[in-house]
Amino acid sequence: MSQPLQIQLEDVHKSYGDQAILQGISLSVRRSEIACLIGPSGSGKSTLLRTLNALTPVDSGRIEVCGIRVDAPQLDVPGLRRHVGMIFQSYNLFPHLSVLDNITLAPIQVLGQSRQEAEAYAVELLAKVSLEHKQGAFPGQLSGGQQQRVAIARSLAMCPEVMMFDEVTAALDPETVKEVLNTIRDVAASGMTCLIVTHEMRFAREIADTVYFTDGGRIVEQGEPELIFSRPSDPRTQRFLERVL
Amino acid sequence: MSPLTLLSQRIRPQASASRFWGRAVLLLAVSVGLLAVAWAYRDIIGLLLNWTPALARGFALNILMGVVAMLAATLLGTLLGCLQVSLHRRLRQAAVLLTQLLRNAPWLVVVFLVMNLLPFEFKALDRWWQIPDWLKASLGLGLAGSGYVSEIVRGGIRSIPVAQWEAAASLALPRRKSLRLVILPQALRSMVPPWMSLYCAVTMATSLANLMGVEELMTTLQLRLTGEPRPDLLLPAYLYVFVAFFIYIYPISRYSRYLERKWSLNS
Amino acid sequence: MIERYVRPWLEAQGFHLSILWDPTDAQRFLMGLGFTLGLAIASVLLSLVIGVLGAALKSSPWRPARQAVTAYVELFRNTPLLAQLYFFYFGLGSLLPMVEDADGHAVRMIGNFQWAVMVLGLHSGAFQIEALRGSIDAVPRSTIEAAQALGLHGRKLFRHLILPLALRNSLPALGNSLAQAVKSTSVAYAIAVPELLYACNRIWTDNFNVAEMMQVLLLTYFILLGACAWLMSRIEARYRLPGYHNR
Repeated sequence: MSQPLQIQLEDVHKSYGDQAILQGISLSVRRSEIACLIGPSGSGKSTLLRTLNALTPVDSGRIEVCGIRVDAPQLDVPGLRRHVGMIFQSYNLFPHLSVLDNITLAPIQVLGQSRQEAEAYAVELLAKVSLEHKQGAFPGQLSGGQQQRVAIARSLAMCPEVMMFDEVTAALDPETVKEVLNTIRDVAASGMTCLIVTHEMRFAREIADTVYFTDGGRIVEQGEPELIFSRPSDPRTQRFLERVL
Repeated sequence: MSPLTLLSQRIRPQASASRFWGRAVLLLAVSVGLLAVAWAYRDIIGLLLNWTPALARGFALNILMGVVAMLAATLLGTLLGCLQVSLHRRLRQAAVLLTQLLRNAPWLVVVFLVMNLLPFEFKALDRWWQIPDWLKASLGLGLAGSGYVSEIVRGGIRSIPVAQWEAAASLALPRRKSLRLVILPQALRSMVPPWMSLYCAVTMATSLANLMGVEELMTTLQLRLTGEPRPDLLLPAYLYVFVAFFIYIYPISRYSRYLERKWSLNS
Repeated sequence: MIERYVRPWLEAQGFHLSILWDPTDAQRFLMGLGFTLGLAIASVLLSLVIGVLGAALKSSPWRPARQAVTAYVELFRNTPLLAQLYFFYFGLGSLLPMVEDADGHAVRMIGNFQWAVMVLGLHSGAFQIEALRGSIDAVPRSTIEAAQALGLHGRKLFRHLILPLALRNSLPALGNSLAQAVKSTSVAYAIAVPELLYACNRIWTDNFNVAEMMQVLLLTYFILLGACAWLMSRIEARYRLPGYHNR
């Protein structure tokens, strides 16, 4: 289990005006590790993910992702984002492009792949998420769960080293939640480093290597899932778990 | 139902047969009236019909000027509109300022400006190129219209949810490519109705070239009128101009309003 | 004083602003400014009246009235302003008799300024009717039904409920019309109304300072339009309904 550190946050602070969102976050994730972030709404989990691919700049602290210093002023932002993939709660597929074009857009435009290369890999990925028959469909014609799976394939097409999932099942019907969770399970099983923000406690317990409980912009407790879920030490963790489980 | 419909509601008996005959009689009366007027003014109508080929050439110039002006306005305006959402502060401020300047200048003044300041010929590739007057006027109108296109483009871009920008950014697409490949294609649809309205306005504004001596519809008409000193010709002649523009502009205007309604209902 | 100090300095920079020291040019310019303002204000007032009347007629139960208004609006919106100006001034104007002015000269019965105001007002009025109709439609149906239930009908309903609310809704569009009216006054140049563009044209023809006068002209329009925008924002603030427009 002694894989190199891939993500490192040290004492990261972020405020919007006088609202402090992150108040000194420190965590580290190794390669191929699955880290789950749980906690009440507004505790800064999404913001934390967004600082890792520079969607949100931080006020202070040290962030290193795949050997790149994210908090450095001269950061090559698109370069960073080639290493980190992000899946959003609202899928954010491009409505004017077909499923296939959604997936091949970035590999062609950013990685410089040829159309054949990109499409071949896209079809492969679509098969892995069981949507190869929907290549020509448009996002408006797909269900929420299907759109989310396409979004995951779209991010995977860039061959990132880290995948981040920001409450990706929160907007889905219960029936479709399962199919998306299965997809995430497959991604994790393939050895990808995953950072997952989720409310699905059972899923987190089953899949995570490390669970982080955040509250009020700080990491209150962290550890192996068995530890956190059955014997939480901090009263805040206990209260939260009582509410959701 | 709009409040207007509520206000105009009243109980009306459905007497369809008598309404049909009433309408038929009205239509007949109007047709007879029109024919009588046409007969009375047959010499004027004949004269106008005589002039029609020349007038049609003039109107064709109006339409050409409108197309050229709209092309120039779209090119410059799209660039300005994209710059208005740039992350470079200086570029953005310059684009915003230029857009406001162009939108707040009367079109006739801008046309005057361009006509006076553009040379009538310039040297390039070892020969002298002439810029005809109508082209100068079109470019002037294009400049005037570009401010409006810039605002249309800016509005369209800003109507796309931030989530789309973020999704493109997360895929490592740089901002300019995101704008070109993800944002603008989606924004295009909402930009079409106001763009069409602007085209109508620009085409109508080409009549201002008359004040510059360009041989468009009204200039051609006025040249012919000076040869025929009949005071009772003036009214029908200018009515002719009305009709020409109306026939061209009204369908486009209706269609753009139809599109606007259709697309706003859809989304 | 300006002649002594400012003029040499400006001319050294290449700026020939004759309006600053030549009384004739200054007078022309100020008269042009006056005419522009006069045209703008008069035509806006006329267009407001037309707008209200037209919007009221559009809600009339009598179909020919509604159709007449629609015909007027479509006609004036889909034909060029210059063509309308020529039609009225040359076309209709030539049908009117000539009258004698104070010096015994034969002049047109309706002068070019009056025609310009009328045509600009009619042109702008067509757009006002559309804008006002839109703001009338924005008045909530339930509010109207409540008023009708209280016994308010027809003209009283329009005057006491719909018009005040609709006018407030239409303030942004009115601001736009005001700006548009100021810009459209330049077209009156075509019938020799001595407004700003005409005045500046005369000045630069005499003094060969086209570039400078262009800049002055544009600057003047910007200042005028800026003043309009400021005025509209003051009016909007004054008539804002507390809590109604919070989105």
